[in-house]
Amino acid sequence: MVFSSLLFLFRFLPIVLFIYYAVPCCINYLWKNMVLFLFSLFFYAWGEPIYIFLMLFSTIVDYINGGLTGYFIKRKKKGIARIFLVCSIIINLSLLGIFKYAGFFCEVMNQFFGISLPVKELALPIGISFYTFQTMSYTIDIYRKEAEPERNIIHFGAYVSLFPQLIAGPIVRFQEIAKQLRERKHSLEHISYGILRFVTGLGKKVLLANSAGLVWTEVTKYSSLEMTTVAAWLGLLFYMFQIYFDFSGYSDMAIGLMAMFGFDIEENFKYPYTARSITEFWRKWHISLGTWFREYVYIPLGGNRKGKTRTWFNIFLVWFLTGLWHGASLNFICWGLYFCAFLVVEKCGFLKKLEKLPAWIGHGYVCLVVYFGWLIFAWQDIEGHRVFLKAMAGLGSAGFVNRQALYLFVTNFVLLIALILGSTELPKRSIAWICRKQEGMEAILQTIFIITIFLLSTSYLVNASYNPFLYFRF
Amino acid sequence: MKKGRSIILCFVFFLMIYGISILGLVQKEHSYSSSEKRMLQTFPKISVKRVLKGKFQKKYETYLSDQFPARDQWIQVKSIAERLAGKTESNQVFFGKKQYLLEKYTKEDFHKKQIKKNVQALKEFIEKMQAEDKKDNVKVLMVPSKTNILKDYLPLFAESYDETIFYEMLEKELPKHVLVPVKEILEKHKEEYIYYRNDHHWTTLGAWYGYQAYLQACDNDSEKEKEKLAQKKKQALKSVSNNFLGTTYSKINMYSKKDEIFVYEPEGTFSVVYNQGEKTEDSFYQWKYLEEEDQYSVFSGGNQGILEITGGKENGKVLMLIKDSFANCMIPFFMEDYEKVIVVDMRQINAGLSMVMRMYQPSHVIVLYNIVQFMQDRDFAIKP
Repeated sequence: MVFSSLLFLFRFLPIVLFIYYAVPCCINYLWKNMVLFLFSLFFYAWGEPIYIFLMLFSTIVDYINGGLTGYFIKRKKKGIARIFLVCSIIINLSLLGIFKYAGFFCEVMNQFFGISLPVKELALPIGISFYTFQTMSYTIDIYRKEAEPERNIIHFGAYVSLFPQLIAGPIVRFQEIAKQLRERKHSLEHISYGILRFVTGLGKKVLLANSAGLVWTEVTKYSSLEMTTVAAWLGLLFYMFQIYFDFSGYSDMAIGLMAMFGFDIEENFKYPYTARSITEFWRKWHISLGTWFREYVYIPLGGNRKGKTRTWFNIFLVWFLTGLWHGASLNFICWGLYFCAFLVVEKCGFLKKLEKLPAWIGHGYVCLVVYFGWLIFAWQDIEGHRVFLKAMAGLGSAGFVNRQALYLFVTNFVLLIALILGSTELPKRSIAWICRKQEGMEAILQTIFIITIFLLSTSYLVNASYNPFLYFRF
Repeated sequence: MKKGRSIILCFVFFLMIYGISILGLVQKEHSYSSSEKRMLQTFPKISVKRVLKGKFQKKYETYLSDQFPARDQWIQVKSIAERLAGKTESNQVFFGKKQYLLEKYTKEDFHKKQIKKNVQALKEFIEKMQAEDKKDNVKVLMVPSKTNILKDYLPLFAESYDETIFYEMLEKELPKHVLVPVKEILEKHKEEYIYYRNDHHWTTLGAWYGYQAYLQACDNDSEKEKEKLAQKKKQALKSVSNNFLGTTYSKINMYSKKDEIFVYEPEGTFSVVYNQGEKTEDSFYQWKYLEEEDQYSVFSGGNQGILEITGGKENGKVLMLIKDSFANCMIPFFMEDYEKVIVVDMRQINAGLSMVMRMYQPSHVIVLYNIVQFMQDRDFAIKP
């Protein structure tokens, strides 16, 4: 199930909210967490009922491993605790490996060694990249004494399967949420904040990301005879926005839903396209993933405390893994290492120089680097890159511009402006400026905003299934 | 103040999600959508097996969106929003000039194999007819689609799939003088009201130009007489509706000006036999449809498998019209000219071409299709 569906908005959400608030808060939110746990399992099982066992397996295994790790840590038997930690990490990584990387691994092996392992692609269980990382953080946090093991499996199950962040993050580390599982506040303010965030995210996803995605899809359908320079540049630009609004929209919805259930979690995106350096960009883009890799890979490996060579290697490894995490394909690894290169250059002194230059140079630099990054990200085969790069460089057979490209630009002009403005803080600031004197104004604007965006998003979702069958009777 | 704001926000949001959900639960289930012209998903069958396979879930989501309360109005909201956002199209429909809505066709709408098959089948059919010594009595009328004739009405820089390639193909494949130059004559008169603004069909006036082109292509009577005959029928066109909204409208549920329907009522008494005796009526028109949404069905009640119309001039001529919906408004022009008119819609019958030909032994044959629909057709070629 996804948030941006009629099923979620008009069946699942109303029911889960009603039941959640109908059951009592007593026994440390046990009943409420039970509701969340069961509904999350239902949410997960909707599309692929079989994978519910995977989720339950993951929950139980990590519950046991985490519990035992905690048990031995408390008794100062670090050695034994370590066994269970390693056990948990191996199981989680194996799950990820089997379901996500097995096919890719076989392919690479076949290519390098000229053997022919059977390439078998399993259907990727949704959210597996996210929840395996979450459950790993659980055992590691316990091992590092940054969190206490959760003794009640219902609380723990609620954490692992919590539907708001189950399928597309943010990756909530256990230490972030451990306390809130048993003690959190429900208030109208909290819920209304959640609503605001949720509707914002819904609008970002349905109205902006999906519309930008349509433009991108159309451009990718062009043959090399139609792929003009303008079309290629424009198409990739829309792709750049599609990814941002899709992903950050999902994070907004997740944060919003979490707030509706009384949880506070950290931000995942902070206007990354307005960054002035790639270092800053990665502090604003998919923050929870960056934090995860820093906390659980970079620092444990010694970070920058073990000499220069080791530092460079650690950086390299983190970005190799970050790339690989995004998908089982070579281009994602290249994408990670591409950013790694810029980060290294910035670390070597370029960042300091950049900060002295006017702001627009930094913005331009980030936009360009990120823009070309998405080019690497977009295709898993080299052919796609080739056609696109050729057209972008003006070497394509279709020439610089044609009617098709101009039309694409004209008909999507307003959308493009909305995308550009939407990825900056400008809308937020202008609203704050308008409301600076009257507090009532903010309430009015927010109400209008919620109604408009929610109803518009609904109309787009209904339209997605609207399918006039014109030749049935005509 | 903070608290008040929160209460309003929560109230509004919950009103929307619970309100719409409850509306959906209490409203009656519809099994057919007249604006989409398709059956809607009703509540799916549920069983353990279907749930485990995910079949039930998929169907349930379709059910939910198919039965969504005020479905058509939501589409309208989306179209209006896109129009306001400066989009010049929505759901594959261009917002054209002069209040026209124009369908957008792309190359994905056509399949090379199917096109080849259809053209080949048409060619073989005509060659067979000509071999049976009915030399000039077979004509093909391929009606261009609205978007192609009214190219000038497209929004700035907009383009739709160019059908010229289809015409070139037909000209190359078909024997000479078989293809009636409908495209040329319509292009000459494109300023006139030859296409509906909100429907994909040509108007009765457009069909009349097609009829005129057909007469000119046949070499039976003198030029003058043909022209006289045609002009007389043009004079007799009369308006029967001024609030028609058709298929193009249905794609976006938005219009800027409704359409007018004209009809030509042939003189004399006719008998129209539907589908080999299903029913017999004395008028080609079914006026009750003017009161319904689907007004184009005023012409013979929509597409019928086989119509047999008798009552025209007793000249022994039998016309067979193999057609799609574009012919519906044109049929009346032929009714007086032939003793018998047989109208066949290949998509609605189970028999093949050669079988109907044997059954009715026509003296004249017209194949009339909208070119887009012909190229996409899946029934013309497969039935022997």
